[in-house]
Amino acid sequence: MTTRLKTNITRRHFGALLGAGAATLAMPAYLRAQGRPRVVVVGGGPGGATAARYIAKDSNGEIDVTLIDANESFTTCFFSNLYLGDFQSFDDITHNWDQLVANHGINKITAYATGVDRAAKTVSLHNGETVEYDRLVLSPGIDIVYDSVPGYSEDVAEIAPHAWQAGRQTQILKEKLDALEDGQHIVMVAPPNPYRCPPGPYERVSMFAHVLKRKGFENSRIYVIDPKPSFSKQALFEEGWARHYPGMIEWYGPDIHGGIVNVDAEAGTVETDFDTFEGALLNIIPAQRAGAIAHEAGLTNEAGWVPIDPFTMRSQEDEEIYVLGDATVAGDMPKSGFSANSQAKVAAMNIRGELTDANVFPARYANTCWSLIETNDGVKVGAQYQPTEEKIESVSSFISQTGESDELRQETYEESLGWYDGIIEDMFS
Amino acid sequence: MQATRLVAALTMMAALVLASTMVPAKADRDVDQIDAKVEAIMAIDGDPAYGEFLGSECATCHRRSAPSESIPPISGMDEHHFVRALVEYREGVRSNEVMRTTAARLSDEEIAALAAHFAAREPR
Repeated sequence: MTTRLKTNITRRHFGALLGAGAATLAMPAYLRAQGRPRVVVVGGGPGGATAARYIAKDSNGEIDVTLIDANESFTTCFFSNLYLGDFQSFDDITHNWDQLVANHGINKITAYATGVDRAAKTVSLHNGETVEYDRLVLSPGIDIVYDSVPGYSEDVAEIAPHAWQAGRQTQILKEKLDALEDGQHIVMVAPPNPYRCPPGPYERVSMFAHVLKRKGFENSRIYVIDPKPSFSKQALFEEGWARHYPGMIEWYGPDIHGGIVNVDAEAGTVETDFDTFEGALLNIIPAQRAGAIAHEAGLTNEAGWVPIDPFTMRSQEDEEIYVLGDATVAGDMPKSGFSANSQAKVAAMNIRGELTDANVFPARYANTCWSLIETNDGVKVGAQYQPTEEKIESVSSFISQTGESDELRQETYEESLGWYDGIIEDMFS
Repeated sequence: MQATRLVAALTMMAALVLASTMVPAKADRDVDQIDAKVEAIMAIDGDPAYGEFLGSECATCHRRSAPSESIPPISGMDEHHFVRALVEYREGVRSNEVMRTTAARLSDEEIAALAAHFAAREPR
């Protein structure tokens, strides 16, 4: 068990102790000593980094912002499928918080946050240190529920990766994909609802197919075993698969496969009630829940996600803790990087309103999810949202149509590239 | 007899509703009407603070630094151009579903606020 050491050291020393490359802080030490309100953000992804950035940037130095992330760099899960498909390099999708620190005086701590003491208003770290907060933002993403798939575990994920958290898992998956020979198959087990990135598994299937097709493989198949009877943008994916990858992809819904009996990663098999599927590459994407710290903090519901106040993104259990992104129950909003970034801005505004005399405007949210099916064949789905007493509710939506022109599909793909550059700037600059 | 006519009417109504939601209607507006709407919005004193908040949503795609080929820069955009673009998206004159959906929920005051904010914002 970690000892909870509440220390009196200033944050500048804190960074040096951790050897976390204590970057020069933009704020002079005397300001820090003066008791500015403190915001701590756990999770440096599209929710957390955006929140930290907007709070720091828009508060004119009035708020002390600390960002805690377990890693030194961040590989975006969004666009990781494009890396699998050779449309992006690993470096293209991996970023760090150095600019954020340099530009906005944010204190970045590289550590794993293990728990929250809500009474004392502290976050505890794996090394035993604690960090005090006036307001806390948790954006911890998802945890994988390994045992939701019989035969699967964290160990098995080393050879049958989920790659539903980006980074090392994505690289394992990429290595295995690239090592396939013609005639070897891929078996994907898709996740049950609710999960991070609804169209994600099917964009990934498209990227698998793209790689195999580029190599001229004719005998490899991609089997998708899906616990869901239907999936996001299904008509668009099925149109695209028939057009670009005829005969290569077989999708099985629960009516046909009847449920997963066992995954045997060593043997390379996924046994279902209907049949056993064999593949040299197994991509198992289990059920998910909110990142562990949300549970540790006592903020999750029975289903494992954090209910929030639709008007502010405050957790329903604790008014001084805001929760963003995949970990939340966000009504009609999907679990996506775009959603997390959108929610972060509402939370940032509300936090500044509470801690300073900043204006608070009525919340509004948006999301767009782009998916690439084949080179220059991109589709999208998205909506605008507003908060209601009951939930965050969609007010208008759009989705790409089957039969669209090649030109529009190319524009849609290129738009996604513009968005990616934009959200990276919005998170890390 | 009554039942089948009712079913037919309901089916037709459903088809019409479905058609109108599935394919966005191409608004066939007079240029004059668009001009008038743009002028009306230009006459509103947009609140730049409100525009800053609304504009944070835009920042993700329309980033401030090096513009992308597919997504135009809007920082420093002339107010008249800005208002015209959003009105044309809102009226369905311009295509692009993301912008149409975004503009559709913006009131005149909100467009004015956004225009004021972005006009004053220097591109990096």
